[in-house]
Amino acid sequence: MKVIYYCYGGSHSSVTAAAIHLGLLKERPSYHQLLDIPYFDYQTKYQHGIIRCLGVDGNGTEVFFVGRRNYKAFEQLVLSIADLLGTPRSELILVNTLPCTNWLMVIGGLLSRGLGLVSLGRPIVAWGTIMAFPRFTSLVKEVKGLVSVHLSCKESRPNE
Amino acid sequence: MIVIYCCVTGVHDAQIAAGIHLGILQPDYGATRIQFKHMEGYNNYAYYQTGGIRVVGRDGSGRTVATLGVARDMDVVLETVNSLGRIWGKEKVDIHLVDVGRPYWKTMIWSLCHKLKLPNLGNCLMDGHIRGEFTRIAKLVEKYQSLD
Repeated sequence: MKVIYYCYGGSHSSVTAAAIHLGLLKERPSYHQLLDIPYFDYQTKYQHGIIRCLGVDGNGTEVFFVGRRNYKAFEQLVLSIADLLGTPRSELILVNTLPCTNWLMVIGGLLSRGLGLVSLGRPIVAWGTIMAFPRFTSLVKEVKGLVSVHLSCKESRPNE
Repeated sequence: MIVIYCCVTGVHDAQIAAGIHLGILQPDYGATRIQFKHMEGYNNYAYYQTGGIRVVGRDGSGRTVATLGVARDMDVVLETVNSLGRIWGKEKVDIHLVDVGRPYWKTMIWSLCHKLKLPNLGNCLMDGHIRGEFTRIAKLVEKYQSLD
């Protein structure tokens, strides 16, 4: 089972959600805890589209994140590739983390990643992420629920 | 091997390239509207809105020929496809993404015309564009028809 969290740049919201999923962030983090997450505020526009694995959770689910910029057909693309490669779609959960973001994350992310003003943008995006943390937590909770439903279905029908 | 022809919408330059590759469109007959009508997905607004990869057919050598709309994000699509191959441990699967052409503003007008219920106007614009690009697309496809 694979979970792919995606957002615009693959630097903030998707990384945060993936980190929560893996238990790297359990409660509202401090500024430094947030910056300690691998790949937080890291990717540039040249790395958009690269799907990176952040880790594997307790159920053996691999957790990925990616920045898909404004490419709206991203989900269809991933599912079509899964079909072409003969991988069952049910082995994949795609999660858009953009609805969890706030305007501070957008402005901070633009300054830090888009314009390269890291010293100005990073504190803003980190503050925004800390403010939006409860939204990320509830999104990840939903995703984990989906994963456990899928895994229990798989256990009850091992031949499928 | 899978050859995926890419353009902004996936239903214009890419569709024509797929048609030429599969022999549905004949480069020798020239770029006529009658020829284009043989391509099922050409100028198809519903296909454009759906997105994703559309398999058009298989050529004589068994290559799967498909189309994809990439908007402005060809680089993102390339990285995503490569990453997915690695994730699923299928690095050896031959997927060739071919950037056929990206006339961004023309396709935006085409899309706007469809939204304004003026599809013929938009389709005429894209027909004109394809007529101008037909020879170039045919030459590009030639390279991928003989790919091993």
